[in-house]
Amino acid sequence: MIKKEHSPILEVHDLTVTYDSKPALYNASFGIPKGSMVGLVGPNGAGKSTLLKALMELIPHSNGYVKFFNENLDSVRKKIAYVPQKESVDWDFPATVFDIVEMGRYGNKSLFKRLNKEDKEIAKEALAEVKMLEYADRHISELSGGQQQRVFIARALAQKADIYLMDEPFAGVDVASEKTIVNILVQLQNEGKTIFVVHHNLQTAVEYFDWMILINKNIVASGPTKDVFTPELLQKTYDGNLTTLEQIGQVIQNKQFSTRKS
Amino acid sequence: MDFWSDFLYFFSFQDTNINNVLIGTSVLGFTCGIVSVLVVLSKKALIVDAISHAVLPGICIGFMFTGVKNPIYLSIGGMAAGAAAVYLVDWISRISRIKKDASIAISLSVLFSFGVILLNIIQHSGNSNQSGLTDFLFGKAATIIESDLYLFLAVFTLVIFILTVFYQHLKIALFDAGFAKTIGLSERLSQGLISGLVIISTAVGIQTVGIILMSALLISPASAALFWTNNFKKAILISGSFATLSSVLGVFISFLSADMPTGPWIIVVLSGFALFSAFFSKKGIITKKLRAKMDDSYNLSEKEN
Repeated sequence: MIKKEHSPILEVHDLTVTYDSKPALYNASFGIPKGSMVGLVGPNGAGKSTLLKALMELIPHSNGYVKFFNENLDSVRKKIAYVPQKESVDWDFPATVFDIVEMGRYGNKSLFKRLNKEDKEIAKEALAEVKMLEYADRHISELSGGQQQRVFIARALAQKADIYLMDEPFAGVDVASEKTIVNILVQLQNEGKTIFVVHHNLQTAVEYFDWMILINKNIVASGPTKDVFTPELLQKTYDGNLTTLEQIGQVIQNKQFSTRKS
Repeated sequence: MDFWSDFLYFFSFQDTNINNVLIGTSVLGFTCGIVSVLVVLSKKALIVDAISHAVLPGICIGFMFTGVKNPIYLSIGGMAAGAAAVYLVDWISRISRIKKDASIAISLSVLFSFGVILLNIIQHSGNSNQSGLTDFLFGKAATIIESDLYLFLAVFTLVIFILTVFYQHLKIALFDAGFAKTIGLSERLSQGLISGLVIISTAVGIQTVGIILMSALLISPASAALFWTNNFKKAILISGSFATLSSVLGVFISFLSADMPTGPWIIVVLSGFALFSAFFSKKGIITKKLRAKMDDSYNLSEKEN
């Protein structure tokens, strides 16, 4: 079930990614509407991060195309913020929390120009939003997993983008950080931004996202959460994985279907 | 002469020959110390070894073409060979199933063997200029003369210039290559700059410590410096200072005794700094243990109360 979007803010057509001639993502096609909070959900190794990286052209794709705002990534980079998995970097790097958040401002200007007062102010605001302002001068190695994630989110906020792509922002994060991050995502959505999140927890997925994409090497379903989060489609996505299916059963029994907005 | 009169003679800078050696090794030390931070943070320590070993055939070919031991020609040969090594490592791991570490080891040994063979050919060629070419293996700091200094200063200026212009680009790319790419920073540029800086500093750096020990001069300073600071800029300065200080001390030690080699002493002193930093700096192993112990006893006494 792939719901057609007539004027999608992000459109993916026939996207195929292969690693050493093994397909990691197969003919992915979908579109997502502006202002939606999208969850990209699927089992381990389903190609969730691969899809996200392919969208940002961090890995090459062998087929298909990706359009943001109906344009190629290169012409709209400034409108898109990407938050990688926090494990993808070395947190022993000699930099403070503020140094990292500041990096979010460099995409908007030539690298040879220094950041001005306004840039610093924006970085500070971003840090305040993730409730990390008092950590500004701390070294990044002193942070917990949740705090590291919040620093990454702050860097993305400093980019002042229109689309936010996040790779597992809730993985290995404490409850307080998760709450802070969710609140920020909601706020971003209220400002009309579009959010695209790789997520692995089915229980919270229903709660957080109003649009959902189910993926297992190919796109199983894409559409409003209430249409996509059905036992049949989930079973198709998690084929044969009993523990996950039990989890799904529980979620459905608990009727956590009331979406966040209602 | 006793130690103190040696010391005074050395550090009164009245001997031009000593001064040339001192300035030369210090400038090269600082240059390599700076580049070292990029090497360590980009996790390129292994490839540095391949580059420095590859420089030998480059120097030999440079000599064979020109027939003279002009440091500029030799350095150009060395740089070309260093670049070839970077390309070779990449190429092997790209076209085959051989992983990067193995392809580095392969390139290193092949190119170095090739260099040693060329060195032999040159030695038997009857060209009297060739004597001293083997010094590149372990360095020849003691023979640095004034005309060498201009080359060293030029390389130093170039390294500082590149680092200043691309400072932010490199900093962002070193911390998070993926993010850097998404904001439109060219990965090829940052990788190329780092490799380029390593190649340039290696091609001239081998004059002091030699090919075999070159990688230490590009790895140890930053390894030591990163124990002392959490600031990228300070790490660069501290790393440069460690390398410079080691160079000065290395030259001094080899001055004290006529048979002492300079390059190896520079590396021994540098390694001493690195070890000391690993144990006793704020982030050092022993410091951490001591602090943990103190915290423990504090917590225990808290509980008892």
